[in-house]
Amino acid sequence: MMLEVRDLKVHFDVSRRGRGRTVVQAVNEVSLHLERGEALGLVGESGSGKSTVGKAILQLVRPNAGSIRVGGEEMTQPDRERETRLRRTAQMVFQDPHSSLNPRMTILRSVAEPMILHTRLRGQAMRARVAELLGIVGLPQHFQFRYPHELSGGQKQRVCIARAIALDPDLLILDEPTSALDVSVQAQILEFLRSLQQDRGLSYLFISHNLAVVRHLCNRVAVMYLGRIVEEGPTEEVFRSPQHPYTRALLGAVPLPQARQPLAGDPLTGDIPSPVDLPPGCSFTSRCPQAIGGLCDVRAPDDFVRGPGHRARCHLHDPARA
Amino acid sequence: MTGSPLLAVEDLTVEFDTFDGVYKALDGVSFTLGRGESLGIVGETGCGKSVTAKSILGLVPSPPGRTRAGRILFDGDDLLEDGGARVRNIRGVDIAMIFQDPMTYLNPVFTVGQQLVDVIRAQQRLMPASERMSREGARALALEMLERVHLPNPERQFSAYPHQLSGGMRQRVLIAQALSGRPRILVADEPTTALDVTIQAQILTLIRELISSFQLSVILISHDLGVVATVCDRIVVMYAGQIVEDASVTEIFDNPQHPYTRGLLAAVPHPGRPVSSLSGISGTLPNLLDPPSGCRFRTRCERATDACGTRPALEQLGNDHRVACWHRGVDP
Amino acid sequence: MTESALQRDLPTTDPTWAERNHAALRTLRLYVRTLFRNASAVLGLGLVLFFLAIAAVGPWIIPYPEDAAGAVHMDRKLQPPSAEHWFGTDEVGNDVFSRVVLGTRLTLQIALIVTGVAILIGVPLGMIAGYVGGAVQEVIMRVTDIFLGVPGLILAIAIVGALGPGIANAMLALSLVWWPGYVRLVQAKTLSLKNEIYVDAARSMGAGPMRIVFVHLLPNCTSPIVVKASMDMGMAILGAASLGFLGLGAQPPEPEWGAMISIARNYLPDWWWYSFFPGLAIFITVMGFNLLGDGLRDILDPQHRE
Repeated sequence: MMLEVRDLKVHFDVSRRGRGRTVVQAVNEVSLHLERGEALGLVGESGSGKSTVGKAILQLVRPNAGSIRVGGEEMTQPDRERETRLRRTAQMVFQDPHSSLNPRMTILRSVAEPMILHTRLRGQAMRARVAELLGIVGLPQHFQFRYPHELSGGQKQRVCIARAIALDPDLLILDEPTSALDVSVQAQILEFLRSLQQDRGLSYLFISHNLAVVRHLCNRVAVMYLGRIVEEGPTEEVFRSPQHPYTRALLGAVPLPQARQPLAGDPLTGDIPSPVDLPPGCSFTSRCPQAIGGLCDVRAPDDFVRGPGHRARCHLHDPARA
Repeated sequence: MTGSPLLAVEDLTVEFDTFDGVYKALDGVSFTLGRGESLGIVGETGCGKSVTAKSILGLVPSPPGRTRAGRILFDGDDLLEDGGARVRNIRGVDIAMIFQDPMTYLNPVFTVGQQLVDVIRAQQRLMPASERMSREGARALALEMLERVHLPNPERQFSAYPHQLSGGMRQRVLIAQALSGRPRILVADEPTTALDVTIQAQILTLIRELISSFQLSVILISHDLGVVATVCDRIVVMYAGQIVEDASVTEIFDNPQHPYTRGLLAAVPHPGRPVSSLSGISGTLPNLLDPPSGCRFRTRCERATDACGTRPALEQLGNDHRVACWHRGVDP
Repeated sequence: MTESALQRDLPTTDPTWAERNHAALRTLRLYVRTLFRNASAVLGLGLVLFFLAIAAVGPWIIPYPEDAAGAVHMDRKLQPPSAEHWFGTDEVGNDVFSRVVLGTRLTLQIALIVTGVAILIGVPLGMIAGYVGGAVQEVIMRVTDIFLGVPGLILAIAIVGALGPGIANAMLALSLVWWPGYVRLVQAKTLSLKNEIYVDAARSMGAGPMRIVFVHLLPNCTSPIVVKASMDMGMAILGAASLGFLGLGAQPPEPEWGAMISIARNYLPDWWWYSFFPGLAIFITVMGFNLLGDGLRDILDPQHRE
């Protein structure tokens, strides 16, 4: 097992003096697992906590509860030695390539950063490795001496990927790697990530707000809403028969690139509630077209199995109710 | 669509002076917008779609921007003619615009209602004094507009500050502001790019509804072919400052002629098509400080030949389909 | 699309010198052009360069080197400007020109030390406050606020008063009141920079706090620090001259501009040249540093660039 997250809980205390206690419940009881060589999509809108899950795995935010195992090793509050191993095993590619590279560093220095931090590689050998990495991501050698502002968005994202694979990690956490890019570039990067995974047997945790994009890279997908996973299953299965009303709405909301759009029914009404004061019961109740009064707004639903490896957190699928 | 078009852009050429040279943002852009039509302009970052929109409203900063050539005819009058005086009178009244990031266009220190009332009163500056609205009248209209864009609780949101609203609500307020002057054309520049998918669907539905209830003509600018397909009747595809294809929605999706249009279509992930059908366009946008001669797409085009060294004209292909390519047509 | 298609139009030859330094060269050209479009910045740069040149060659160009140390030539006291004494002479017959030119060195020394010490104290404190946050930040920022709340010159006067007058004590006093501005500046900048994604990226790769501060945060803070330092050089010169004028800084016969004016004002208005030329030197130097600082802000801050 490459990655196993169990009952992860991340709350942020954003209280200000004199304004009472305010806690953002970013992630609540999230469990997921990722086999070696597998790609799992983590999908949700802003405020769903999907990026926080990625950051918690890499110890960029501190979880309040739960356990994270990377490569079979417990990584919740790791000591120095385990943390070093974590950094070599798992790397992250961030959403906005325009700000994920230090503007004062040449591409050479940016890509070499993990080597400086974790290996003895220096000088000529290090430059050779950087050149090799740039070759892998399809960038010309003279880009080593460029600064980030001289590169296009897609080129910068390739640099970020080169940096992430510099230490040959087993797990890449891709946090919306294409959402700041044009579609034609996005397709290039998705293709590249696909071949990279095949060549090196990488595991991906692919975080995105776009279900259609996730489908192109992932064999399994987990949908998050307000800090909880509401549905999880094999990608094709979830696309063919989405079980949770939110997944259905999310799929219906993707504008299709085709003439004669099928009427996807009414879009979801209302806004995503604030993760500061979550409503009682199922957090999707306020927008759910199928909400059952007296049940959904009172009691949070359990996870119900809907097929092999396919589960949904919704009262509609409660066998006890039928 | 009968008679002359509501808006005609003819041979628009816009340049920017930069440190590294002259940036040729638009090169001979021509298109028309019919009455009641909704037109989508699609292209990648840097293709000139936003500059086109800003030119129509006279919002291109000058310097460094410069309109080298071209005319923008609104109802037959050239907006560029008298150094921008005419466009100032039309902006916000006959042609209104909404933008990608609504927060940037709302003043954080005034309430939503105050700003709306101010905009309504400013829109009436050209009317004779006797026809202008009182503050109360403007307030009533503002509330009505907020209702028409389906802002929940308009009475309460009227006295809310922009930061208290969500992104989707702010965009609704901006749409209300834009439509309060009863414009004939709404220019929407990536109006949903900053929003979540479910909120985007709400705003697109709203725009579609307003097109019919306000008898609007719309220019919708987006990098997302899906977004444009939801709202528009006709699509203009731009590449590197030029129009490469202009056709009805059905023609663009069912019978795309330009290799770039086909490349764009193949690059959009489609939830209903096989995963393997996705492919990107190799290479990067040409540098518009020194664009390639002839067809600007030829540096990335798989069909490019020597003929492409000469710029292809935008040729009419029968019913309302124009394309600029020497090797147009579907793949053999 | 395959890997080879990606590299189709990409050159594969070894980088040339121009390619390696492409970015630096372009930036340099941009800086030079922005600077030379700004007349006042060019004037500022010219004045500062002139000041530095005088400081460098001063001892070799002055006509009366012995006058700097306080020689006495009662026979030629208080002579007006002439071909022999360009700026006239003072009450003991010393050549004012020689003393003003030599004062340049002293002034530059004061400005560099005061600004340098202020940066060495202020920048690390600001970095720590901004990066660590919490109680540490509270303590550092409140102390800074207290220092900023008291007028700097008054505080400096009090410190020199306690330590005793003299040039070294004056520099120490000025340095001690100068650093809070840098704490403010750097703390604010650090606060915004530490939310940049590249800082998160560095953390995700395992970079420690020291590396993040020195490699990722500090280089991105240099522009505002350089601008402020340039302005502060001028202000420090003014501060040192004020202390000298009050008799708390450099002591006569040291050729310090403020101290010279302090004595010279007794000879106004009839012997105007005695105070006029040191005053002019202060005015021009301070203006030079301020104009240069303004110009640097235009060059280094893209938001101020057209």
